[in-house]
Amino acid sequence: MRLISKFVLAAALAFTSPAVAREVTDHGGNTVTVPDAPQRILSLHDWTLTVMTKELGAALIASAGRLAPDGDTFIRGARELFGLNFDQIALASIHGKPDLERIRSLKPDLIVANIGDYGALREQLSTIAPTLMFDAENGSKPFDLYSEYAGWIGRDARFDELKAAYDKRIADAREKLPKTLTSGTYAAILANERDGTLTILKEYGVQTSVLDDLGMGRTTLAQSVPAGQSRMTIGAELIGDIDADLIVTSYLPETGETPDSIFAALSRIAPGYEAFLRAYEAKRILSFSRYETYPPSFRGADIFLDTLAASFE
Amino acid sequence: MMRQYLTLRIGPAIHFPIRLRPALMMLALIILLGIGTLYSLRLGSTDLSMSDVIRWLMSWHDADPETSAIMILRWPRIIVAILAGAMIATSGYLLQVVARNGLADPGLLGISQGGMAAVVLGVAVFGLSPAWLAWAGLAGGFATAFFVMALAYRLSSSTGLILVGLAVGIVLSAAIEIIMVRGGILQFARWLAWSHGSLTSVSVGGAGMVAIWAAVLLPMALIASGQMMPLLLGHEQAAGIGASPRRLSLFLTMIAAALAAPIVAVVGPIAFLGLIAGHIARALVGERPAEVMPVTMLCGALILLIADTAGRTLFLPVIVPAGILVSIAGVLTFLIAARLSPSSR
Repeated sequence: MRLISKFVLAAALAFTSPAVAREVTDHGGNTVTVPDAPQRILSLHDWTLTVMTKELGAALIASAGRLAPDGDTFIRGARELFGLNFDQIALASIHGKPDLERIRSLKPDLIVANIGDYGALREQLSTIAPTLMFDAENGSKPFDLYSEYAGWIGRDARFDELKAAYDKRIADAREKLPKTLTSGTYAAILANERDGTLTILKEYGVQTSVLDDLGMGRTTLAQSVPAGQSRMTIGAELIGDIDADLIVTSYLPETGETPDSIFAALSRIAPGYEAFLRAYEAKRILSFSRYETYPPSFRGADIFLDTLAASFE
Repeated sequence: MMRQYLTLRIGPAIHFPIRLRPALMMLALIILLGIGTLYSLRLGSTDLSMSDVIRWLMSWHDADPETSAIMILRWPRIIVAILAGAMIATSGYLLQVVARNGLADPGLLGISQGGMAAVVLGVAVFGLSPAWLAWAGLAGGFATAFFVMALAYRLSSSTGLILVGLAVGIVLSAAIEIIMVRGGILQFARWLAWSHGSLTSVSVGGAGMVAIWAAVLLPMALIASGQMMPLLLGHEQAAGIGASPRRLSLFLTMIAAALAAPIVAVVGPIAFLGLIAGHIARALVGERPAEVMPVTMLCGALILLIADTAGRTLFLPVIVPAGILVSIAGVLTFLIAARLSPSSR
């Protein structure tokens, strides 16, 4: 009898597919054993990791969210791009205020977090589930980071599909947009009214990805951003060095900003900027919703390309 | 007639005669701390029953796996809240006695900023591992304490120490900002999270490190408190009765810096606690350092424990860093203590 039960057990084990796991080295340099096809992914950064996980169609069960002024919670970036809200997935934590016990209660089989906010929590998060640290601003191109992330969560095939469709869209756009634009230079900036500075962005979500892929060149200033970093802050008196054919920037709708807010901001921090910027003269300063164009996503790239095409019709 | 003194004996050589009122205060605070600890272990995003907590405490290694999984996230921060509260409070009280100024605390004398600057420099520039950060913080805290004291002695006034400390603290804070801004947004985000003084990122390893420092430094501070009475008279009078105020002040400042450094490295700066706990303790038990010191430790531990527990339970889903709440809790406690003190009646 004992022999029969051992045989049955051996047979059962032979027909049961083992839980497959892979080793992934994350952006913190940690080698982590993760499920081959994770079924309960918990994201701790909404407008990068949640957006990518959602777009890749992976099994996302929870995300970090933001607190709106009315006390409601929302998923920055994923709300605008995919209509994702906390009726569809669980709230893991408020951004920047991690609640480890809540995260544990959601029973994730993989936690993905951004290294800037959660690097110090890696040890504790790893006691809950395998944890991967992602660095959206390590100087790599956003879609390269996206491709790498798709590999981490076993969604390479879906990424390749989306990338192929995007490449076709870029080829079409290159045909339709004015050659004077696509052969020119661009600068991606943020105007910081708080301290009267300008941020020069080397890599900034789909804004820089799409313009690079369209074949546009970078300004000398953007090329001088230190290696390993995605942005650099300069004084507003250097605004004349932003000598680009196209300037792109972004606004935060939540704070009441609009596409025209950039002009008011530039007037305040660099009065008379109109005389220094070629792009202003050519009416080629474009502002996009940051929620749609900061996240590395192909949906965001489509929105960016649509807006760009509409501006040059 | 009721006996007015109790004697606390640590070994054959160390005896602390303690008056009855401070002894009762200590007992009350220990009981409150015990109750607070039990409730802190019980409360969280996943509430446990008190019987679960007691069962877990009784059978640490053989507890229910679900309770153990929650506790591994909860107990390190509770231990650190208690120890860090006691250490920062002690640091503040020592500095108040040395400076003969009730406003002194590790932040006001630049010692916290010195520790922070060393930690930030260690992480951002030299890429130090977490195990070395407390030592970096200690070196920074010591260096700042030496510098501030050396400058202040030239001014020869107790307010001079505060002014020099403030100036050094401002310069060091500016240096920290510069290092952070140069490090890019990733570094800045890390700095921002750490600078709020949160216990969320405390791990078992971090709790162990703080416990080792506390085990060495808190008894040292308690023993030193027996020698501190002459300092309350001022340096000249203290020297007149045979004490060595300068040497003792330097020694106490070094202990104060050593108490603040590991907390800055593990938790980040906890402002205000060092200032408030000593005041509350004095309002409760009077001025004798040997009696004020243990009460200060217990008050600091209780305040930080309550602030951390409130921060992670009262405003869910938002977790409020203890460093922010301790200021509020500190002010409220301070006002209550001031209201209850005999001089206010």
